[in-house]
Amino acid sequence: MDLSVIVEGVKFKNPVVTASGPLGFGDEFFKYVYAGKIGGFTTKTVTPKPIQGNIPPRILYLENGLLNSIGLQNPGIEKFKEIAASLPRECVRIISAGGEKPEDFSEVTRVVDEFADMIEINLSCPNVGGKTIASDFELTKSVLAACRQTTKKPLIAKISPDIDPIIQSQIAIDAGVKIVNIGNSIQGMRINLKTGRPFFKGIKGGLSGPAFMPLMLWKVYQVKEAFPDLSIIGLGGVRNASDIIEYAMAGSSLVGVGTQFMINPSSAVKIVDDLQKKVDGLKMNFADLIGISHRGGFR
Amino acid sequence: MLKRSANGSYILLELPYGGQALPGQFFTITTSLGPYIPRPFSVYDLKDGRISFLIKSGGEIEKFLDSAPVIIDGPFGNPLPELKDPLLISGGVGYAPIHFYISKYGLGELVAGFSDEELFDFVDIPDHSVSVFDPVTPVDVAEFSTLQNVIACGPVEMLKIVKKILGQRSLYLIMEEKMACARGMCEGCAIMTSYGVKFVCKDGPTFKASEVDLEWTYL
Repeated sequence: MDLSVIVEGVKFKNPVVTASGPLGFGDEFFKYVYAGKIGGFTTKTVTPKPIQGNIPPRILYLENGLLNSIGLQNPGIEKFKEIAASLPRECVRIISAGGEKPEDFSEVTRVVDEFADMIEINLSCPNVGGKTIASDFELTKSVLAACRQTTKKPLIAKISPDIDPIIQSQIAIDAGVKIVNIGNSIQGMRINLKTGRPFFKGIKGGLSGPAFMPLMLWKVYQVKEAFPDLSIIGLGGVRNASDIIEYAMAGSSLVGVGTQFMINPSSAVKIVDDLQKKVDGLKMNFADLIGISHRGGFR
Repeated sequence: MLKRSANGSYILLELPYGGQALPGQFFTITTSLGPYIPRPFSVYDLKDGRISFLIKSGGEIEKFLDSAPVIIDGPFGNPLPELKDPLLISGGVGYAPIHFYISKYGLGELVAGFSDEELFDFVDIPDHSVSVFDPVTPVDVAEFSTLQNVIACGPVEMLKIVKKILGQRSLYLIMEEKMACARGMCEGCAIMTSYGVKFVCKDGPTFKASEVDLEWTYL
């Protein structure tokens, strides 16, 4: 059976895309995985100027998850151009753009345009400053409008799991964006019992891992129910091919994998192979699974 | 095989391993039941097809070690430099990479610091070395050594004192920081150096003391 998915005119050989962040710019990841094995690779977010990232600790281990406070460390757009040119073309190249104001996003979008098959607008990093872009609806509108004017490439609005996904998706649609990534890591915190202070200097961090898959799955379901024609990248806590199918059933056309590939890059090969076996077993193309839970399931 | 210290405060995990590793390198360890994020541990010893790790009890991994198959991945990180007549300094379970170094290359002098006798009784300490116990720190003794090549591994507070007292010598520090990928991808184990932000897993874990800013932490 066929695993391929076409999203906004771009063909993915399978629905497995990497989540932005945990795999950097891919130089290490692709030592373990042939780029042609996955559907798409999403880069770490790039901003106009270099960002040093947060003071450590940046990682907190949790049972069934991970809290991170990396802080969008990246080399800035000028240096990134060299990296972007060498991104493998055997999978769809998704470049993640970040910044603080609309001009930042449009600058990054303009520069990466020639290197990207799609551009993901990161509206939701939990680890820079006090608020996410996504928490300010007017700013979100301006950012997406600026990017839409800058490029003809498909845009992805990476919304925040901390804010109503329906409102954010409507804003994206109104701005002419036809793909929504259901979310970043969700904001959370832990307090160091020895010091009485938060573990992270920035107080909050981003929660990822299996602990929050049901939460993200529900968001995908709600958005697909409200906007059946919107393409959704679901992600959050994916560990295996079954999780990918579950996200597809909720309405995801593509499924992002971050933490799992970070702790075991080679698992990408097994997950894609397992996914093929599972759709073969179902005797359905993957595309037919997308949103099936909204259509009464298997009938 | 699991071996526990007298009061159970420390564990020596020994596994069959046919691969290579050098002193200073580390592996990530988890089990089929968890923890979700594999934890990094320096190699304590590698010989005769068996690799061992020294683990302080109380972490999440401990509850799984008895009941599930152990999964290790590595080696990661860069090996320690092979130095002429090095002064080796350790604090607590920071003795693990020092022990492997001694096992492979020998030593000039060793000063090992322990919070109590339980760990001291549990690990192999070579003859002609000095062990100290709280409140005496290894630096209290090491500062009288005349050896110029120095490697230190232990709690960051100990490393700060080592750098302050012995920083004029050729001093290498084995750094520790929480990490998730161990491959330089996630950028979790950041450390500030003279060359900007580097990562313990990929660029370290050993750094020249003169190049590391030990104050760049929120801890």
